[in-house]
Amino acid sequence: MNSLLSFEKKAYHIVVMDLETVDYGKIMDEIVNASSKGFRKFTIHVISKTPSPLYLEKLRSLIQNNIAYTITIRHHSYSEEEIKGLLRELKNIPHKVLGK
Amino acid sequence: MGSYEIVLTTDRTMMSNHHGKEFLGFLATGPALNMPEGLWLKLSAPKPKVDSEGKPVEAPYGMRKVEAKLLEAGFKVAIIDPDYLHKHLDSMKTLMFGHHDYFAYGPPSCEWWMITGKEPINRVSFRKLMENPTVRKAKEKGVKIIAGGPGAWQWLWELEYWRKWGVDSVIEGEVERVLVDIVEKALNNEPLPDYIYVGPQDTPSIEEIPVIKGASVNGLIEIMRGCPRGCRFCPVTLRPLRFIPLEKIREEILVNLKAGIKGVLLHSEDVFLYYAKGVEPNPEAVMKLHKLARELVGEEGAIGWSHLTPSTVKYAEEKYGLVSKLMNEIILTDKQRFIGVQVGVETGSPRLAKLIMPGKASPYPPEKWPEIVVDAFRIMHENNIIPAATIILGVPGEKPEDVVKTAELLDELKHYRSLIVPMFFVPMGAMKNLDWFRRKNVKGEHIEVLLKTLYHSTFWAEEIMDKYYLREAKMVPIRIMLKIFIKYVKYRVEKLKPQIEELLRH
Repeated sequence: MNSLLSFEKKAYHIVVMDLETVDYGKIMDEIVNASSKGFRKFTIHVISKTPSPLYLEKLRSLIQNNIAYTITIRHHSYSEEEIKGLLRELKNIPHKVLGK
Repeated sequence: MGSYEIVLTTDRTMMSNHHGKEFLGFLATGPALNMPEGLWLKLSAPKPKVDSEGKPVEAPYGMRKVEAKLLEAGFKVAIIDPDYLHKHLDSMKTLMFGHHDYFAYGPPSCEWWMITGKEPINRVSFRKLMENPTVRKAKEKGVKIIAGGPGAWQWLWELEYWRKWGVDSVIEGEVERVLVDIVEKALNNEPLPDYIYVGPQDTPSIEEIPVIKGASVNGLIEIMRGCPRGCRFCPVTLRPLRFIPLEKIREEILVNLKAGIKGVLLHSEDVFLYYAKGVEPNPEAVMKLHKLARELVGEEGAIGWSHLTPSTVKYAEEKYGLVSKLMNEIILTDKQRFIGVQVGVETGSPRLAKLIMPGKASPYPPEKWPEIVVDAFRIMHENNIIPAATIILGVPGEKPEDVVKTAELLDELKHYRSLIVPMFFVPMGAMKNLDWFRRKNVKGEHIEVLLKTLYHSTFWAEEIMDKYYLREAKMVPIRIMLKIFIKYVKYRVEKLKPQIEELLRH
């Protein structure tokens, strides 16, 4: 993905499908799992009907609980085309998709 | 006129040299009390000197670092005073904001807000800046807006403002390593992450931290980053400890002197820990640092400190005689009669000290914390060091007996020249996931501590102003206004005393 920041290219990516239905604890669990494999940078891609930046309210605790890792958070619109494009671009980058 | 594609700015409460007195800047963390807002701002944050383009002679240090990093990377960038942003609307592609306390959620702003029920000036001033026509026009024409600095985390609690003002990205943490990448993306109009938290592994090395290119407010320069003490409420301690070499310090002091700044303010979480081994001070390094500072600023210039820790003061003096040696041999001159410094006392309770700041008393045990504080205050009093000390109320886990211990400590400190400022707990550092201290949690013991600090600080503030502070002829009006303000506060408290006593009885 050309639009990623350099350090995001070395990050573990978590795609959160439909943030409204995903418990933030699951994202935290995934971060902990990936960190046990040596990752220290994470990019969270949020697909949410709630517009940017209002969706961040659901991730506030996650951000506030983190002191150890570099985390970037990106918002993507709720369209099939954009989701497919995102997943295609993450094909060769370590990632996990959460949610339906 | 320079054509700046990147403009760095902040609101008036930050873009000021506070009459050359850092401490006056704290007034901007409170609401305007008993005087018009404009007058309060003039008192706390007068407009700085700027050139024809609106570039201030002195600018906040953190913004100077960002500017330096971007200049070194070849960008056309400048720090611009908020009143001159309109001059750069045509060239501007990215507008970057820095702030310590965007929305007055930090200490002590949130405390004044809670006590008075009025919005602090820093919050009002920043909101006015974001709603000013130039910033709105910039957004309309597609300028990317990025916010950072120590107060970046506060945006997470102001998502509506974030949306309304069209902020594209908020960055929290030390940015030197990631900045250029982010700005390149912004200039190329590529989508940015909404939020970036720079973790400890991405903090810059000494080599990656640039030397400032323009003068910093009141000659402030950092001598180290990070802190080894590990206090749980403090974000600084989460970052690796790095010491800035003397050569870089020299360069930055020279940048400031060249711009006409008369002194240097050494910034560190604990100035006496410069090149320390853990918490064991390195007297030789500390002396060298101060000799360099005095050599550069001369007898006419002032040396200032940002922070000290009581345990280091006690240890450095008792083991090495370092405090008196520094003061007598280097700092005190015919022109400089004292040095002010911020000191974290935080609590008088050894139990709480052990819980929230087990390393702060080190090399002494936390059980001796109150004794350490008293000894340190005595040493500072004897050596013309005036501490502006902080106390934290409402830390999660605090019990009424802890607050009583703090009140007892205040009684022991009353003979020592100092200002003591109580602060309500704000979730930061390793405690940032915990709850805020709210108005409904204020108990009788807290009110007693608040009153004791008020009596202590108003008593000593008058003495300090009479003998040490704001003595220059040009500062007379400020001194008079502050004295009137102190008298007014005392009068109001006396008037409220029967009600407060009634409240304490229940």
